[in-house]
Amino acid sequence: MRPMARRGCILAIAMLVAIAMGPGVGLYLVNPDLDDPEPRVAALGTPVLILWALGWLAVQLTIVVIAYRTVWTDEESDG
Amino acid sequence: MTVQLATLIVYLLVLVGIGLVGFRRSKLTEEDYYLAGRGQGLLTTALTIMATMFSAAAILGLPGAAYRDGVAFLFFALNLPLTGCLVYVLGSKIRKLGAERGYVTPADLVADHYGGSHFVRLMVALCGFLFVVPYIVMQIKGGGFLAKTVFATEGNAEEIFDTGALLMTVVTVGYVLLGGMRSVAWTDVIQGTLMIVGIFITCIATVAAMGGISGYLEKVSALPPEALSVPGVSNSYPPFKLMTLALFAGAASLVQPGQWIRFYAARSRATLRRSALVFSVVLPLALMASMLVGLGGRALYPPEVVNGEVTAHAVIEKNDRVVLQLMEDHIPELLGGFGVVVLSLITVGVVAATMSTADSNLHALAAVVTRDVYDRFVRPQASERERAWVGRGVIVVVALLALWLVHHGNADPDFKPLKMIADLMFLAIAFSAQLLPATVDVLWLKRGSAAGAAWGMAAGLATVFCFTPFVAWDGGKDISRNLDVGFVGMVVNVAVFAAVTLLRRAPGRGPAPPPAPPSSRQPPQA
Repeated sequence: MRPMARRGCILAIAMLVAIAMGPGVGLYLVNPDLDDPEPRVAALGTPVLILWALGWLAVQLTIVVIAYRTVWTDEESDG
Repeated sequence: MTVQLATLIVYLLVLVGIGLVGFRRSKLTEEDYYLAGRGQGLLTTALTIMATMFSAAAILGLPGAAYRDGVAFLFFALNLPLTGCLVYVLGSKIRKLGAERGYVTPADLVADHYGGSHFVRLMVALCGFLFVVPYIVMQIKGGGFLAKTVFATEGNAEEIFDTGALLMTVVTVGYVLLGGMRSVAWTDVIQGTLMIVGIFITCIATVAAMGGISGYLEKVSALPPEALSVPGVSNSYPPFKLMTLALFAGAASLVQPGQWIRFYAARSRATLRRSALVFSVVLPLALMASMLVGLGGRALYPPEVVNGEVTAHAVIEKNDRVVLQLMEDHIPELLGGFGVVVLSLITVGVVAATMSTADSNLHALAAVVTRDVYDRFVRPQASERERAWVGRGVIVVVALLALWLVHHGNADPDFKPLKMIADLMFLAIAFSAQLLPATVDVLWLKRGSAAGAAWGMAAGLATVFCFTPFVAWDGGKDISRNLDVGFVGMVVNVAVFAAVTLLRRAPGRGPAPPPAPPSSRQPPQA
């Protein structure tokens, strides 16, 4: 596999992991337990899920920028 | 209100002016009318794709959903970076094939790959039609709703609604008729800019009004625990549903005809590459900002919640009004006298959201009806000039029909046709998603047969239809509560696609026919 194609595959897998962790099943790791009488809804003065969403959004944007700079090309022949 | 009205009139006049300039620069060919000569640069491509994606639902409905459900709905924005990647990955392949073979509609490309199959063409057109028509009608309704919200006084609400819907339709149809894709894309540049800037200003004003970032976070952290967890207050967003939405909803929005045509219209692969980056960064941040406004609204105007049913605060009246209310409350407060002007511009930005989606869909529908139905089944001998005029006729007829539906729906809340269309709008993206498997096969896999693709789409559309209120099926509610309906349709679609393709290749039946050579009427381009 060519280095650029390999990097593209790695970034695609990273994006899928970011989706699985961010808006996906990874939410179970941090979702406040509503059965708890005092669920832990905030950390560092911020709702936990807002931190989680912004964190994974930052990961996704990083992946896009890396793909833009290293994988996506302007040349038509790369199809 | 005078400043808002004056700003709106100036804005509408600018749109008509753009339509006229587009008309002066246009040629009477299909390629020019639908694709602006395939020469759109970075600014127009990036902003027209974003403005088409951002409808009134995004500006008003998504913050309304965050107001209703709390933090859970914030995760919906996390589908957009992947969608941005697909602008490049899907878009650059679609653009290349379109430029080489003269394609104009999605069905041109997909049906051509499958040997010019009429069945495939009709199914692709149907996927597009089921997406586009509800969007057009509901955007016109949104124009009336906005006019009523902003300008109505005691006793004249219905007249203002009708006038707003009529004015929006006339201006939108006017500039689409005059300049085609060129006018639509240029107006999208203005509309997209107004929308995005408006969202960020409203977010800043809301955060400032709540005591800055720390005050905002403190108040939001004090929301009830169910508003700070998934699946949200109304129990609508469990993680697996959010994940399937993030994986497929954005991709489904990109294969609807309005966006697909924008890929054809892009000047080069480089244009789409840069547009994809702009999309991936700007749109998620804008959507996140709009939902933070919704969350702030929840802290400022707590809704009433009884057994998971959320009723908006009396000041807000409806969940979807939360952005408008916060704009009115806090932008003049933040910016003083100048705030009234900014508020007017942002109000125009909300109107722009409805118009930019309506214009793109009207324009795309004209292309689909003309190329995929009229040209293939009604008058195959029609000249290109005739087809361009038929397309304009389609725009006028559909817009008048939509206006009629909206008028009657406003006068009579039980008017069934509009309620049916509203129900279909809810699943429009799920219908559009049924084009994804065939698209992936055409662009990458190249293993499917025409019958497999067509029956797969038919099965997928039928599956999604089972989730509409027209089919009384209790199991549908349980499934749609936990999964994206478009994803469910795609699972059936792919299964049928693969099964029919394999049956065609079974011993004794021979292999599936190879994809046909290009059959487009237009000559290849350099």
